[in-house]
Amino acid sequence: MYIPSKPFTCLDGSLTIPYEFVNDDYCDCKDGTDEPGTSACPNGRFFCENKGYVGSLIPSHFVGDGVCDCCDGSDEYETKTVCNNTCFELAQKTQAEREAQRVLHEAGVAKKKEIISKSIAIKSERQTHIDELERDLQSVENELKEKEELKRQAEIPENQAKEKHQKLWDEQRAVRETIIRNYQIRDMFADLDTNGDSLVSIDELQKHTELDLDNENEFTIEEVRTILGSDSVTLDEFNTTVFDQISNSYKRLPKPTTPIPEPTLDSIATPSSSVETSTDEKNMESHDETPIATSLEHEKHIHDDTPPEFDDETKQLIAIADQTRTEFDQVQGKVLDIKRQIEDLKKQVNIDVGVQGEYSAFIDQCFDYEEREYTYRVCMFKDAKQIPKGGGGDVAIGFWDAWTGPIENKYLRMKYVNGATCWNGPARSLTVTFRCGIEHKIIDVREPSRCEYAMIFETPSACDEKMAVTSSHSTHTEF
Amino acid sequence: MIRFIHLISLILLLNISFIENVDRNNFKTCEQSAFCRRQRKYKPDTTPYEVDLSSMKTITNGHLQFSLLNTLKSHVKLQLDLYTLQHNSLRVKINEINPVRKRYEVERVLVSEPKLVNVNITKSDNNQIEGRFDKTARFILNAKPFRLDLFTNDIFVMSVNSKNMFNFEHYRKKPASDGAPAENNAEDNEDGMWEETFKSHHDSKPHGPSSIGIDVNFLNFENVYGIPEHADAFSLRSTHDTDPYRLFNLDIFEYDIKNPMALYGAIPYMLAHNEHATVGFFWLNAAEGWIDVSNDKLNTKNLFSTITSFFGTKSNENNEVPEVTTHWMFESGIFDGFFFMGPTPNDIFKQYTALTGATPTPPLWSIAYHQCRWNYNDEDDVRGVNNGFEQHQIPVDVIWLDIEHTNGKRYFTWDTSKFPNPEKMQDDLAVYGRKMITISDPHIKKDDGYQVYADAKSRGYFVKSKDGSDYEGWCWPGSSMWLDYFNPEIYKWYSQRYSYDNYKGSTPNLFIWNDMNEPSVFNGPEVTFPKDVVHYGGWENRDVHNLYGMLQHMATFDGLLERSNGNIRPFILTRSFFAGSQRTSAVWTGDNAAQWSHLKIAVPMLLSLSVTGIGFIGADVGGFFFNPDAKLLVRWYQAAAFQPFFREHAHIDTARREPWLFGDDNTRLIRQAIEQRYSYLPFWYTLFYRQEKHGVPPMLPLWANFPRDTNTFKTEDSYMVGNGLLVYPVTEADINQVSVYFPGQNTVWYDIRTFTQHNGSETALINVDMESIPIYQCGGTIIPQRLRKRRASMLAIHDPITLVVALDRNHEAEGELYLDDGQTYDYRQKHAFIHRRFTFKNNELKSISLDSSAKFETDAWIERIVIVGYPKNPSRVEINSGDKQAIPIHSYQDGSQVLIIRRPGPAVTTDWTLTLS
Repeated sequence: MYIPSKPFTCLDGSLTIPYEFVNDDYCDCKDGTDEPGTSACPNGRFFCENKGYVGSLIPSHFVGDGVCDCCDGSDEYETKTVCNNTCFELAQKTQAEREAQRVLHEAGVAKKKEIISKSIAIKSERQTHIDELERDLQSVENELKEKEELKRQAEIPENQAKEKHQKLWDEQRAVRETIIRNYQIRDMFADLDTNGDSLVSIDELQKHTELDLDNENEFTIEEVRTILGSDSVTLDEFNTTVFDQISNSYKRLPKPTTPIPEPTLDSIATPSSSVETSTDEKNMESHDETPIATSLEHEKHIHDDTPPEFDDETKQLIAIADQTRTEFDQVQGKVLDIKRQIEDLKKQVNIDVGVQGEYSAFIDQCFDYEEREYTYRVCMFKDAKQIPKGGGGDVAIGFWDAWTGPIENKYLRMKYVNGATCWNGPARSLTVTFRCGIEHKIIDVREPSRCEYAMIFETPSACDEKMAVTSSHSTHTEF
Repeated sequence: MIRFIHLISLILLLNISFIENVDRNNFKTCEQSAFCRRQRKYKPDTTPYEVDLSSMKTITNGHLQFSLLNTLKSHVKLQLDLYTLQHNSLRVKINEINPVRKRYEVERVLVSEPKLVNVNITKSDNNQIEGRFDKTARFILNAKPFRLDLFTNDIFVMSVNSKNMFNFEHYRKKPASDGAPAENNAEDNEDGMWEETFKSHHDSKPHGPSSIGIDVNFLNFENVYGIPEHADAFSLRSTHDTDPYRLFNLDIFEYDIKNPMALYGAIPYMLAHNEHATVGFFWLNAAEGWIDVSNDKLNTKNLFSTITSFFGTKSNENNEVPEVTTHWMFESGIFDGFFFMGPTPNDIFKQYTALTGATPTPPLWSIAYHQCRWNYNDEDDVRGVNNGFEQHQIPVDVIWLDIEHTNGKRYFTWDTSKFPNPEKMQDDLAVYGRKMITISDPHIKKDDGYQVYADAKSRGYFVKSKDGSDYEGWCWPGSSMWLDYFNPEIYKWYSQRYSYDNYKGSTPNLFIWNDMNEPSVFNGPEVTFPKDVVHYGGWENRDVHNLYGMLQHMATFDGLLERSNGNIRPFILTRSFFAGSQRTSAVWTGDNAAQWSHLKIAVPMLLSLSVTGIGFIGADVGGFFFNPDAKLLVRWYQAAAFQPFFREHAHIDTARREPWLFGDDNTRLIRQAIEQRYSYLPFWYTLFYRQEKHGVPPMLPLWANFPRDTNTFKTEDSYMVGNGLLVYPVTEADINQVSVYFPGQNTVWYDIRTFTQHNGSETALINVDMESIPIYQCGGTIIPQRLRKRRASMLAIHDPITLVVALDRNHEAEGELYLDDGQTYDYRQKHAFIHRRFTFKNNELKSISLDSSAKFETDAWIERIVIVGYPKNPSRVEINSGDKQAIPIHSYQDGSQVLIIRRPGPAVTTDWTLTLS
């Protein structure tokens, strides 16, 4: 490329220049290739020979800037800066570091292998367990079907008896409502019939201006007659044509009235004596309240009423059905329990614990890191917390999200997201970066950006087989 | 007599309302500040003030003294001192004679006692005195009524009290508690005169009312500028519908833009500019101030004939000329007004900085790129950030540490668990030519175990409450106290805290950032000191408030200077400032936000600071609060790369935003912007030197270079860097075209990337993409650059120079280059610098020294000369330096008319001539 006495063509082919222009401290090529030995080009590359160590390319603007970048100091040969040749020390140091790394990875990989083999065992154990549970599930589900049939059969007579009981109660209620209506009609008629002639006449009704629905003008005779349908009505006529029209708006005129005897449940023909003897508290209360209720409020009272107890025969049928239901529920509980166990096991099986299951030892494990103010706790594949040492509540800094390492090995980093939200900031999150170590251990937790936590975690699971190999050959060629 | 249109008084009748939000409620409106309320409504038809001309005394030539009387209050006697100063400047002082209490006169702002020039009294009758002085200045003092008219080149430019708003509240005895007033005047009992309450804060006002109001009016001007700090337009807006512009140093949390609210610093200095003159008015007063601005019309019909001819232009058919009337109100102190009669923009810059000082040439690295964040957490973090710049090959000069680096916000200490080896950390950065800056705020944590506190406490160094006890308030560290820098002993003691012995862990590569120095007091009224706290000499904070921050950063500067035995230039960044801050500190616009509107407002905010003397200025790149998206961040870098102080900074609650965190493409764009900054550093440095010498700030409004181009008077979307570059930062999110106005008739502009030409006095639509920073070099200028890349500016000081010669229509150009060691005072003490002028004329480019005594050893040479706008390919290029001659290779591009001369080769230190033929 750089042949003396021949014109030089920039490596990008953009320009050809006389050879004297190469390394003449003036940048001619756009790609900076004419000045590999000077700082003239902003984008050039300078080659450090670094004898005794690894040769390297550095940006050419590092040349002659007073900073020793090459271990042989060649980038500062032409400046006053004195750079010691550190290539030998560097080579030794690098070699020592590599060896330390290799030893570490070697030891780590051994442990990792244990984890992997355990993982295989645990995995098959889990599968066996799942298979067992699935068999159990089969039989319990069959049992459930039987119980369901028994339940169904017991519920048929039970329902029939209950329906019968309900029907009877409905009839009784209808009778009671009729009686009460009659009371009301009679009461209202008596109230309206001020002259006691057993007829309600227009002038008697006209006093009840509250019945004037247009509200604007007087309650005229015509309007009253429209309601009555004639000049006066008897009790029967009142019952059939008038009562329904006025019962909602009707108000008593203010005058002393004689309380009308209270219809109680006793006074209503009731086929069941159980009502009287009932110890049901609601019924008792209803009894207590009735004396102060006016006749017109009676309707409420009836609607509050509750049905009487079932008869003994029905009760017995219910008891039988209850028994089948309890048995059904118990078996159903068993089914759900087994299903949940299976699901949990499958979840564990489905957790991505690495290509070879190297992270399987993390399942259901939590790790703590003690810092000045906080304990940081990460429960693997679950969540991460910040626990203040000076008291106060734990703060969720994230929930398990995914492996987020580089494409080459995504299992070198994991992420926990959607933790508690910061004031004026994002929801907290945690990134765990794994590196090779002999034990599972959190090395460091930081908060480089507000509410974005970064954890460094050492584990054999992150050790690399390739790093564990003695690379004496490559070392020789490089140094 | 002259009759004026009083638009302001109409506006006062209206109920002025604001869009209220929680933040604003923490700060006073004019209505809530009793003196402003009183002064703003003071609009009599005639002024009661009269000058007693018979009392005139000539103290010395250039200093006249008069009695000034209030015809409504015969017992109140004022004294008016009139000083004619060098540089076309007039000083007028008005103070009480034998006051009940001495009034505060601001100290430490003027560089020295202003030099008087002889005044030539050209007219003196029973009602007027006219005097001429210096080059173009003239005044007419009218006795009855009191009024002062000012002229430059016989053009009527300013007039004082022509709107009768001069109102001097003399100190008086407090009315007796039984209600009988000490003086028989009802107005002495006005609400708020003797005490006032804002929110839960009570101001005891033991000395009663003491405010001064005055109107200063700019005749035939339509644009006034200055009076920072406000997040508002460059050409000040009329305050008809708003509060007046407020000057009161405050820590405003998440400040809003486009309003006249006070911010962190205050400079009571206003400029006015039109096509005939640039003038200025500076009221040296450190109390709370409010300034109403109104764009009016002045009817000239009844103006006395001697004046009407002096407007420079004829008034229109209605006999009206524009006028900007301004009403200034300060709570205490004296009237100490300086009037600058220009008449050119450069004259104005000189006139103001002759009084208050100019920014000295900063260390070279401080005008390079700074990387800051609240907070870089520990030494590892700092190392990681430094490595990030290395890895991504982005230049950077400084890494900053915010408050979390200290042990519990005890300044001058370190959190040793995170920073166990601060010296080593600084040394490691220094390997790359980089510096570190730590924060040092003025609140001192109340903690007996903290040496700084314990010493200061035992010496009685803290600011006192009105009852004489040490004032205690809340800030970052919790309960805190504040040093009383007004006491010279305390000031000195504080500066000594910065010695290497006292500030353990500091090294010569460590510099300082003074924040929160308004001061910010979390539980104080308006988040600052109560006005009745007492400083040295018995002055209330009311009298001296706006000086506090400046005194802190001045003391810091002295400390850093002392630390190096006066050899190394200090660097300080301050948030609070006052007139004079420019002598010792850079200033940034405080806690802005990651919003496009904040990127845009940075230009007018920085211009307002620039023209009022504060030239070393910047806004936080990216915006302090909230998270910028990549586009906003890139645009911010592109803009700030062409603003004087260039620092990225971010709030602790924001996501990381170092330049490489937004994807490769954005990293590249940010790198490009920063590299461009570095390539122009020789130009910037030369401009900073020019500022020290001539007071001209490096960032300028277009009108400073094109004073007659009326299209530029309101321009705030673009600005000039020196006289060479027109910068139009892209400040909108989704935009692919900007409309750029190129000022100057017969001027040609060259796109710095493509060398495309644009004509002056024309507006061009310029297509922009994310790569674009629309910047243009002005034809007629020569700009020195360093096109080589370095990772830090200090590593490049001996690198070769490229000259970009942009020819004007006459094929001429000129420019300068200033170089020195970039960090010491050797340039002053040993003349160790290079200052050269380059001129291109008649096909010759010459380099000559502007200072033959200057000598700086450097290998720097001229590696490239780019001549833009050269009409044809020259047949021969020859360079002569002394007896040496060379014929460098050149190349020429027809289309863009660019001639590039390869390796012309002379040392930067030599005289040489390049000849084209």
